[in-house]
Amino acid sequence: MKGIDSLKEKFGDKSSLLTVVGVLVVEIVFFSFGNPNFLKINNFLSIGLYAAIVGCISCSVTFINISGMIDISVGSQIAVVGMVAALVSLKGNHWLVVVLAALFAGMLCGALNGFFITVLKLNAFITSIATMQMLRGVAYLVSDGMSITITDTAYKFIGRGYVGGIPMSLLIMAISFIVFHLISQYTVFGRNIYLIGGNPQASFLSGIKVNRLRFQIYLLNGLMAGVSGILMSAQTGAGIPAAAANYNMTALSAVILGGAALTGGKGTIFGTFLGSMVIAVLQNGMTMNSVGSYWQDIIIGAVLVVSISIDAIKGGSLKRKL
Amino acid sequence: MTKIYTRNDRIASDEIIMEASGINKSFPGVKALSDVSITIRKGEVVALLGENGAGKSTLIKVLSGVYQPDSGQIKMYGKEVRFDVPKQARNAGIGVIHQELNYVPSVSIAENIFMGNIPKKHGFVDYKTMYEKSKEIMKQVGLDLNPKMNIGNCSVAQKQLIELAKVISDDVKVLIMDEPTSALNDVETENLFRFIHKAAAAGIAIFYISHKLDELFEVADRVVVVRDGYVTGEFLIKDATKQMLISKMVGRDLTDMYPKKETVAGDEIISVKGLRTSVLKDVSFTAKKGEIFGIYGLMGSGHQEIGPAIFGQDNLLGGKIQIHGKTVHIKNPTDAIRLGLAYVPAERKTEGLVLNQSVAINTMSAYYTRHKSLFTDRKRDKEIADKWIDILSVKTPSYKTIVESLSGGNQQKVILAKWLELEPEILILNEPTRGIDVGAKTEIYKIMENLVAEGKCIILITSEMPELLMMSDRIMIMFEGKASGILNREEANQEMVVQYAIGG
Repeated sequence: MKGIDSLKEKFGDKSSLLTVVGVLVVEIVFFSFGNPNFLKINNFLSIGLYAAIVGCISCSVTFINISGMIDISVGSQIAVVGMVAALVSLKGNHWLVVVLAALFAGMLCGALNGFFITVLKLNAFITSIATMQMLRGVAYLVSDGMSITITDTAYKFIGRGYVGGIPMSLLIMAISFIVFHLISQYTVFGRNIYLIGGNPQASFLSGIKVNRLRFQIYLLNGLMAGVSGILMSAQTGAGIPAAAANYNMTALSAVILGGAALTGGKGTIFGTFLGSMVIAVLQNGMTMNSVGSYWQDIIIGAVLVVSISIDAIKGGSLKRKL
Repeated sequence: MTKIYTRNDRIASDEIIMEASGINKSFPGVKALSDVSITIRKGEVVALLGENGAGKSTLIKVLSGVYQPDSGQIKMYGKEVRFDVPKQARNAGIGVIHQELNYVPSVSIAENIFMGNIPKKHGFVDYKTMYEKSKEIMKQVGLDLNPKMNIGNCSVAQKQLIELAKVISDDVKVLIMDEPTSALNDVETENLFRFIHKAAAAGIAIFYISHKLDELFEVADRVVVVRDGYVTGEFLIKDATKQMLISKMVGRDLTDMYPKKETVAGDEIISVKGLRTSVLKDVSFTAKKGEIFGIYGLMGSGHQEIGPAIFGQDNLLGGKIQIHGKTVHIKNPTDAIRLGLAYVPAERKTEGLVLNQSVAINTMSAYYTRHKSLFTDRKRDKEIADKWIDILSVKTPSYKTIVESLSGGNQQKVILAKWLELEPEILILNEPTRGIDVGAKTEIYKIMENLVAEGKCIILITSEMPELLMMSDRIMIMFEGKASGILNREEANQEMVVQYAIGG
């Protein structure tokens, strides 16, 4: 009995990570048989390059989910950031100015969500449906629906460049995951995110300023939309109003695969990292094995629903009445 | 207003409808019902009277199939019955009107009446029949409302009558009403009584649960008094007096499980003047260092709202709070904590703990409200958690254990640990021993006594009479949102407290 207890204690809510690790291993083994080039270092670097945009935003979406909130507007936020970056760059500004403008635009998007959700106390899901559409409209409006090409090579280096043989995008994603991991595990801010997600009322009565914290999390999410938007516009070399349309769902899928429940209080950055790798490896492997894009959508959706089903069944969902 | 139906208009028949005998029911650590026997006749209104926690609710849950008795027998019309689930009791003709009404606010009255049993025609909802029948059913309780109306737009009294209508439309033989007047005004109460008399005249047997004594004299034929799980008295209402009923409600033996010794109170530390919220109407009191200030009231009196009001959880509509003679403005719990207050809420699981987190994380959840820091420190978490596990003897496998898996008493100790680490001067404890076993209760009382010995001030909000009388140095009793009396330890006794609690 004691053995089981201590095992449970050790793995605690990490037990759901076993599922996602399992899925990742199955994918890698499966694809490496399908295509000999799959296991090459260069292929993994390119997986990282493509995973970076969604990877960065998944970090802050994890915080949103752990705190018991939701944001499905991140795709539109990234598109707006991309447009702002392209516009500011078009005016001939230094790349650093472009980066700051893009991050600021992202934070404004986050503040918009945060205002409605924490000041007016609107439902987070409904609010982000509204802002998703509004911000998408803004992305089209600023250039009258046209894409804007970015010519500044210094700026494009952020997305396309390599440092010591490693893509910049991959480095930025890695730094994001590490920083978010440290915040979640070693700061009062990070701990309070878990507390308000686990029980907002008890957290409030313990003196945690729940609404202020929620606002800060949305602001941080906007900042990361800024980072993702910069990576996207630098990789594509353009501001594209229709871009990143699926990113909210991809990011949310990665976060959920990684074990952050929508009900709040649960989840880890490491889990989200694994979740986003599951999706990135899957996309890469299917493309290398010439799986058609319609089938890719079906398979990615299926992997998500099968993984969460495994966790649900392990949690006793078949025995529950409701 | 003239009463159309009064008790005297009818004579209960001799036909016994329901008879429960020798009912025993225990929960871990508590014996809720001990050898309880009760009968009800056709057309009779039997009032169940008792303090909070006396066993009234448990008894009606046993009678309506929510709980199964450990031993004892229930007979209906002389034949033994067994209710394993509430549905069986319902089918046998037992209807319950709960204190908390069950309804879906966003749909129509008719759909609420027919919930789970919607009339159909060719597979589609038969709205015509549903609306017509709803009108008929509502007519029985004298309601003339549009059945298409959203039930959420009805008043509490109307909802209650609708629920009544629904229950009696199922050919109910025994109707159980739990504190039905707690949310009604005088006119609505009068209306409800008229309905009760009418239903009784039609032969329905009614159990009426209340602790408003005056009501019982208007509505009941017989009163059964329960206390600590025993039936302590049974009277025909015409033979009963208020004094008799009160003395049967109280008068328990107080055992020595309560360690409170006499302490010498120090200087006044908190003063509350004219506190008002949506429930409280002008509450004033002061409390001193080294004192346990008890606050008592029956359900709905507002005593439970005082903690949230002082601690910044509820919005204040008026009033002044002074600490050490200085007026303070507490906008939220953060302010309260920084002023040296601590609050143990009544609902341990929904307000007190983050259930999916560990003992250590819960112990530390208020720490950073007092100690500003950017970073957490796992070594500190462990040290502080282990310290309090030791001091309060929290029974937990480790500081890492998820609090959800601890017993109620140990969960309560974790909440206390969270506050004690901050060394508060004033602790507000709202129902600190609710739902925890006797052993843990005594331990919590000992902790409280040590705290006042150290000069801290405890405001003890409780619905438990023995706890109140044995632990408090002074007692404030609440009635309808106001203090109806403040008593010193020496002068307070159960009769007086109950007297104040029912409004003088």
